[in-house]
Amino acid sequence: MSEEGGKAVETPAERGRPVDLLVEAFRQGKPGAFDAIVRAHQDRVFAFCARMLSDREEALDMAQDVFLSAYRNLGSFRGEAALSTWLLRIAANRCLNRIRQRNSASRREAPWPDAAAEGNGPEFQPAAGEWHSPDRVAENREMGAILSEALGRLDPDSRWLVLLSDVEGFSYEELATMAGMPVGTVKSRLHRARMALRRMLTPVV
Amino acid sequence: MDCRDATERMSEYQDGLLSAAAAEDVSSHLRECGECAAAARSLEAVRELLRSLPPPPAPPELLARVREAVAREETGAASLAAGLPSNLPGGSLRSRLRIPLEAAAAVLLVASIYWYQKGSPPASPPQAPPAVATPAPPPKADRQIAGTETVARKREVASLPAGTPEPKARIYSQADLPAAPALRASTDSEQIASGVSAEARPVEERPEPPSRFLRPLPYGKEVLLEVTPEGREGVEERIAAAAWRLGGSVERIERDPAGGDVVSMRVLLKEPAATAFLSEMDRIGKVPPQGKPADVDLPAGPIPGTVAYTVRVRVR
Repeated sequence: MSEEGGKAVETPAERGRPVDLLVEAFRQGKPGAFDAIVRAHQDRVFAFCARMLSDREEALDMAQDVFLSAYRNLGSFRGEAALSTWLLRIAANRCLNRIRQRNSASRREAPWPDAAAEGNGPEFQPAAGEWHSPDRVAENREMGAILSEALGRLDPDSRWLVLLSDVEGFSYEELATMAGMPVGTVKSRLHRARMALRRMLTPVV
Repeated sequence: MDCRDATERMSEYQDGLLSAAAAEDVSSHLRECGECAAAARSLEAVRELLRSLPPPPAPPELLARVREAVAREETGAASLAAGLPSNLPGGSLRSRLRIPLEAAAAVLLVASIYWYQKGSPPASPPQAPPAVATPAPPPKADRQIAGTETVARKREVASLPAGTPEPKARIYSQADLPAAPALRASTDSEQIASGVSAEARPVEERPEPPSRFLRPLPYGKEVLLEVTPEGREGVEERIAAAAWRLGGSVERIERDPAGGDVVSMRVLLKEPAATAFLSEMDRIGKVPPQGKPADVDLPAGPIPGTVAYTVRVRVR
């Protein structure tokens, strides 16, 4: 144990947590350690970015930024969560910021309602009913493509919650911490987002 | 429980987060209401679909792009400058400093040669260069310079028109000549002044010409960080974390080849963060008075507005 900034600092091993061998190798300056980290997590990080941003090139840029940020900050990674969780947190925050910047001038997507307005937020409206069109459904034969498109139709904040919760397995409490809102608000927003997805996907599930 | 309540609680019900009584209420409603039961099944199907969604594989170029970005990060100290991206054309520190450094090196080289030549003579007595060493001519005082006639002098006399009286010759000794052959060959004879004899001149040891003038100027300040043997482990992480927290970066880490321990780290910071960084070093270990950076160290960083610290770690 050592002192840093007046606070006691422990390594993951001292706390009895499993040590991420790749992170330890990186910290020891082992050649190729960071390459190995990227290889191990690139699919998950890229998939999240791609689903959040609905644009391959933008997702590629974002995934690169996520790993570069990880490279800069791995020294301060405490190992309190798995490295994959840590990387997804970075990706989640950055993707949401990117979407908000992208859509700052757009009024199409509703802003994140505050906690006081819980339950009174705008209900999701599927676009134009084309999802219910048999032709449209027939065109999207692959379920992954259909689901990705449905996710893209959610507002960014709902998409963010659904991906982190139902795809990546974050708990309500973790999401509440990341989003800076009460757990109850997270639950209700997630439920509305899932119900919106259900309405969109009813013809194919 | 009505359909609206059941729908509102559907997610929590499926997550198992409802109390036993509330879960039983939802269950009984789903048994009685076919429409809500169908909604519950489709919601569960959607969630299952999300869970089983295979991730699209990362494109192969992602790893290459990350490698490039990391390489730029390691070499692009210029990105610390006021918002100047390191990927701008000519934006890298090396390319931006190349011409000034070369010009400065050239000026310093000329100056060092001048100082070298202007200085006192070398320890060994001067020897006439082979080019001017000629066999001793017949004794003719007005064409001799201490027994040796220079080629230049010969040419001067030979080029005079016929009938022109030869200029009055002066006689010089070896001691009158400057030490360096280059100067002796190029200096007009009228400017050679009689000086102290070679024997009387003090012998002076001079170092080799400073070759460092040809290298880029060093920069940065030195910080000595003393840590206890117990605090030795992970000290590099804490130094790096301090730099990163303050918006800086780690430029280089040097390790002990034998033990692998970090012996020094070079960090780059913006100038306003310098004081805070030194305070952080005092928390990590102890910076003795003699280990604090000197105010006269110049330049402080690779570019204006930045400061580079080489933190040398010593176990006390």
